[in-house]
Amino acid sequence: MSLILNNERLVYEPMVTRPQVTWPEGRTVAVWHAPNVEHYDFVPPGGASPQGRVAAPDVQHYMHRAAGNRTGFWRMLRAVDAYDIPSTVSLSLAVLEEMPEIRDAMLARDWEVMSHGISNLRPIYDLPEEEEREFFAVSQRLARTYYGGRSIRGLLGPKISGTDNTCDLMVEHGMTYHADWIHDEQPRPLRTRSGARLISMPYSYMLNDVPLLHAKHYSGEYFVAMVKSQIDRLLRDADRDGQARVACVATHPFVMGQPGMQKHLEAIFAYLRSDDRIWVTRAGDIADHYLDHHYERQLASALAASEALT
Amino acid sequence: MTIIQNPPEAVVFAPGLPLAYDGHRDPWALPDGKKLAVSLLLHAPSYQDDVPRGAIKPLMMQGGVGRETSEPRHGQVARLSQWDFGLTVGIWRLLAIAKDAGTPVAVALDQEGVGRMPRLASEVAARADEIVVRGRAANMIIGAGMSRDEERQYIRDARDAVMAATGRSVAGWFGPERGQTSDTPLLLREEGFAWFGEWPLDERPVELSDGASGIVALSHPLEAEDMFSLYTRGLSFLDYERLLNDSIDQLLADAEVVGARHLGLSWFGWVLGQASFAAVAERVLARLVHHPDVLFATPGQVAALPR
Repeated sequence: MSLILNNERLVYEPMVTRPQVTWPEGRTVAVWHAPNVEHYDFVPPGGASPQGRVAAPDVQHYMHRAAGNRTGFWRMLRAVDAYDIPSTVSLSLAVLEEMPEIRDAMLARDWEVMSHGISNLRPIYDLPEEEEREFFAVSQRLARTYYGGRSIRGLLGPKISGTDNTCDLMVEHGMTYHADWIHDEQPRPLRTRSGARLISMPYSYMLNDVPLLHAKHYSGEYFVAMVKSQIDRLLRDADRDGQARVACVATHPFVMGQPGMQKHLEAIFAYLRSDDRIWVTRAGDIADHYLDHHYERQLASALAASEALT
Repeated sequence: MTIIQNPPEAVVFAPGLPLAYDGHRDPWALPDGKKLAVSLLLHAPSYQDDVPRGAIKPLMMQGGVGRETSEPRHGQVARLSQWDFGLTVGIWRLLAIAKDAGTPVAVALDQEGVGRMPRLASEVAARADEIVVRGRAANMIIGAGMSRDEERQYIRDARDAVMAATGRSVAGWFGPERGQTSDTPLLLREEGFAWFGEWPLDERPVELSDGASGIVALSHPLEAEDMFSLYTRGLSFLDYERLLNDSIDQLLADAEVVGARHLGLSWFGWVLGQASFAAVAERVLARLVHHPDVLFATPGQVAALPR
């Protein structure tokens, strides 16, 4: 089967002409909280410098991220518990085997595990197809072994990496959603070589502490303002056009788990719990609902416009 | 007498651009004594993850995971999908906001976008007051290394594709990444364009001279552009809104001193069309449309005003 280029994965239809998407119980905006719980190798394969700052081991980088798992994660967990926020962990799967305390805390709260690769300094760029197939096989084996026998349904590529085969190999390993695609406010079909169903799950680099606070210079207050501004708009637009939408709040323990950030995380969670139109849920639940109720009609509508790429 | 000896390989001034300065030229005047002409150009560019061999790509672009502006490694779809957001959602949100405000709007489309997504072209054509040509793709640009014939063909192909897909005539051009060569204005004029928008040059339309005589450079200031202010500069959306409002206040005041002004708003579906930012568009347009001293028109209409 021939290669599908990235632009051709996308099934285009403007929001304004699509069949309606709805969420359970009349909710109009689904929000998934995606804490990125990551592991970074002390000396990554190849020995490359993690940030180009100093040669590996970069202890400033390593320890900053390790602090996220030692203290930040647990602080964030207290806010998650206080507001009862279902979460979809974007997980360096090494955590399942090597950090049982964190694994068990997530499982106890029924968090969904979304793969974020094995380790976050091991991107999968240029991986030959067979090696990438093995990557997915190992990923599922880790989850089934260490996470209550559950399989992984979604992926956010490690360091947001992928190949031209990633979507096809995901469906081969039973996955249904891919969060690397941020092209929409609804899940959308992604073309695969086998024709098996795969959808995009709107992740966010907007409502995301790393781009916003760590890479750029914004404040915790601004993160909260961005969350409110985005979701307020989505609620308003959904009321107006009847199209239910998705938002994602992406966090990292080494950023949002820092002590000075906790009040902002709590402000975000309080906001999410302030409006009954918001469906605070997990990515897999959104994916299941979309696949069961909307995928076929949305795909058919897009293809009917005779604009499908063949 | 000249003291400066310019290096022979230097091109010291932009070809065909008359040197002119506020206070040293006749003031521009608008119909009915208006002080500020405002136009709104919405960009609907398509980003191509796989670019054909030989196409010229920008060296840096906005969009993607974080602050990186270099080309993403193949396999990272963050920039592709962030730009594509403008086509699936963002442009429609901005078009709805402009319609609610009652402001005329132009939309810039590119060749790859209309070719791959016919419904993008048809739905934009149904909503936009003016269609503008935006080259081949967001990341397939005009630039150094292109021969004049290659550049002419690039312009023709894009123009023909956009006209065919939308069923509309076009008079305006806005090259992706504001990419040009020294020949671009001349070639655009020869290919029938009346105006182009890439130059953040002036606060009134500028007619070119020499070979490009007759074509109008209609400025779109970087500071008023969402991509530049929110991404390149990294302003907060609240600071961006303040900047726009302060600029409007100042331009209205300056019109009394140096003649009527033009503000070319340049907004991207993938930037201001994001739910977090869209309220800025809504509030700024609402303010402008009710202002008694503001003439709101399409960029093509502004370019066609008496100079």
